[in-house]
Amino acid sequence: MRFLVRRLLALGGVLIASSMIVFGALYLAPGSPEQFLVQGRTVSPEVLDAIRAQYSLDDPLPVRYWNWLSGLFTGDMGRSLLTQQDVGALLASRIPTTLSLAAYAALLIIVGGIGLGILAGTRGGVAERIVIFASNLGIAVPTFFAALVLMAVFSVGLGWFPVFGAGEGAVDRVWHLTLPALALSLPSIAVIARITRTAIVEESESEHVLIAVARGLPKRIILWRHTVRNSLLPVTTAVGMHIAGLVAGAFVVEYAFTLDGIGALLVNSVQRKDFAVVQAIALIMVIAFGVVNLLVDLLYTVIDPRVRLKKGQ
Amino acid sequence: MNKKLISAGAAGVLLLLAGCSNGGNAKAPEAAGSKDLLVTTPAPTAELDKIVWNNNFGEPPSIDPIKAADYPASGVVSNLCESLFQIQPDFSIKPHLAKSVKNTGNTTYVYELQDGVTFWDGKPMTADDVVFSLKRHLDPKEISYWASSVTANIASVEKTGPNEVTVKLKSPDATFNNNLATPVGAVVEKAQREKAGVDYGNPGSGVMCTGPYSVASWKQGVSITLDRYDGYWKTDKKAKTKQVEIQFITDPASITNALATGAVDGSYDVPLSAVGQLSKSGSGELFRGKSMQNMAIISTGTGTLGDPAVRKALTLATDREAIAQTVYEGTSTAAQSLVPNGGWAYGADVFEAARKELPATTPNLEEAKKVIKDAKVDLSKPIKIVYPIDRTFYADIISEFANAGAKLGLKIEPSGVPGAQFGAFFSDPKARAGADAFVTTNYMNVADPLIHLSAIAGPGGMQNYSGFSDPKITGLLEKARATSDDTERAKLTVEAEALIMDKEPWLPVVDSSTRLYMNKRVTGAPASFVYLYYPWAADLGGTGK
Repeated sequence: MRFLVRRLLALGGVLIASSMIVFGALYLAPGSPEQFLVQGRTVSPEVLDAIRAQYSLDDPLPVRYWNWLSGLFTGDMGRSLLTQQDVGALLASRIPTTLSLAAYAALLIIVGGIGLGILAGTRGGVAERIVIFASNLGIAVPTFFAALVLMAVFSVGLGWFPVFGAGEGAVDRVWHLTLPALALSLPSIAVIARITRTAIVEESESEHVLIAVARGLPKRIILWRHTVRNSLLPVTTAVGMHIAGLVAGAFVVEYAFTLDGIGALLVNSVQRKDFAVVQAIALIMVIAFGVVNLLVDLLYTVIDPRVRLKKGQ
Repeated sequence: MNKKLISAGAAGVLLLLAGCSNGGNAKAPEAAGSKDLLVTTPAPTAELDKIVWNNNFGEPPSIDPIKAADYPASGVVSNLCESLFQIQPDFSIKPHLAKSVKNTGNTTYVYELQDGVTFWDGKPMTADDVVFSLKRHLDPKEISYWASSVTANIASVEKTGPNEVTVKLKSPDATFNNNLATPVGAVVEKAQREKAGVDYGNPGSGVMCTGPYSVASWKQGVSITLDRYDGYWKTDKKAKTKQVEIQFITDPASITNALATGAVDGSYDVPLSAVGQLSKSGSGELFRGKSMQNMAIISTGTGTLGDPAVRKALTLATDREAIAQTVYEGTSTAAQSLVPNGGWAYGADVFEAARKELPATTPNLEEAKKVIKDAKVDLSKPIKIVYPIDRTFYADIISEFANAGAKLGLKIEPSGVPGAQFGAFFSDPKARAGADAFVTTNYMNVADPLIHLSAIAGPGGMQNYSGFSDPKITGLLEKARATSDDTERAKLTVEAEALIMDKEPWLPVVDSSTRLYMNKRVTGAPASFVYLYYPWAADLGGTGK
């Protein structure tokens, strides 16, 4: 429990530090927000002044940061410069898309990556070679390219999947998000499959497995209890890292498949120096990263009792 | 050529590709160029329940008409909110919410308003709404992106009768009514504007206008759905399609796929990369329409290119016809002027005749070498031309200029910057510091060369990025604005045009055309470049197929 509290406090610290860095970086980036708003038109100076006043753009950096931070504690994330909209409302409609995309991709990474790794690590032979070859390919293919190929083949060519949008309702959403999730998870599946395979191969040559084999334990117990379970520790770490990065990496796929997620919104908002929106999304990403890492650490204790013992000391 | 279309950034920077691949060395491109391009598409024969369209430039940040100053917003708002005047597909401008206008004196306009106009909520449009709407540009707190020298010239806006509004200008401006065809003349309901407060124009509160479509729903980041307004005042122009869903797909490959599969029925200005596939597609047709868009290189007025003689020589030496043929795949024409060819709604004879007097677009190295002798700057200093790095075709264009420049002893350096940073070149003089020039794909708001030239070369013009000022040109532009006779005004304008093209504040490159794709089941949208201010969706209907 103390471990959990400590981790949550640490996450809070990371949040504050990262929000300061993002805010400061955006402040220092070239260009002034009101100029992005007017799209290069020469509007009257009074209008520019009015924009600056409405969004307090002339306040010094610490004052602006403090205003934003104190607003946050009262549940006010500010207003988007670009859409003149409450940031909470703006994000509420978009978070579900990114979360479901990331969750779907995470599922594919866990099932696909670990599954293929176990297959390659235990079967050997042709299966192993195919998985290694495919994972090389998967690592080498960039996400945006995978998105294009998947779309060309399965949406345009075969017409099995839609070409854009995130869909409505559970079934429709799964149908819409299948290709995006696949494109997003492909490199991770490849990496995880390799790590899993390596871990299993290593583990199956370790002393306790050899002894188990010598003692004539049933193959299935050797495989699942002695080999796979023990090899999962490094795999869990890697899976956690990859899943945590999904939210941040989602924007490429969101752009290609025209999904209304926060990744696409973030890119647009950074370009326009839309402070409130960038801050809010950055926070969400940091939180997602922190929470996933926390879950992974908690998972360690389930997989390996020795970790639990250490914490108890 | 692999390029990304990020939703149009500053000043409508987007590659456009012109129609009419007539090729050859047409010295007077208008003869073929502007006249072969389409104005309209076949009229619909059936009503439709629903059409799915795509706004290639992405989602409107706001649908408040006075904040609709770029492709993403204007392409949607044009169906929602109407102005006192309206641009037609043939580029002519007609009174719209204003039934008629009387010009008393040189600076006073009296507008009689159209009867029976109602907002979507059924309430009639009143003179008070019109006065309120025009005055929004004068109130800095309303943050009108259209507040410019045009609106600053307004001395007063008053209701002078139950159905009459009078506008007094500070100095004569014969282009004022043409400007009222843009959101400068847009009319919104006063009561709803005041009630909505800061949320006005965003997905929560929206707007209240009089157009043929109203907003049914706005799914942020995805689409906006428009419903036909059945109480529309102009009964003969009532929308032929009950519902239009406008998607916000910006990725070129996705746009192409959505159109090719029929998931989306149509779109304006389809990506250049899609032209090949879509023009061969059996599922629909690609139309090339008359445009008011062009591509140019803007001098910042500093460095080697700050000298007009260098600019003129460089343009003369560069094979811009080759650029039109190769970079634009033979679908645009070399530009003779900064006024896109055919971009006029009055004085056509005058403007067309003037083209024959302007320098031809055929490269002329001998002449260029003569011209550059007049240069007073140090020619050895490199010329830095900035372009957005994600649009590689600009690099191809600049390299053509660099080749020509080398023959004149000029050193031209292309400089790619990230898209977001590039946007600042149009708005922030600090960003432009250190650059000699930057590229643009530009458009005229309305087909009035005088408005366009005043913006580029007039003091304080909306697109005068170099502080360009020439007393003779300024005098002519002012005189033209004070001239109400169309032909006379056109004559003064071409006089100014000739002087401007002699100085070339921007280097003209090519004139474009509008690329419209429609699935074979739909038809009717105007093919010309009016979709920013004309309710194009109301003309869309079914083909019966």
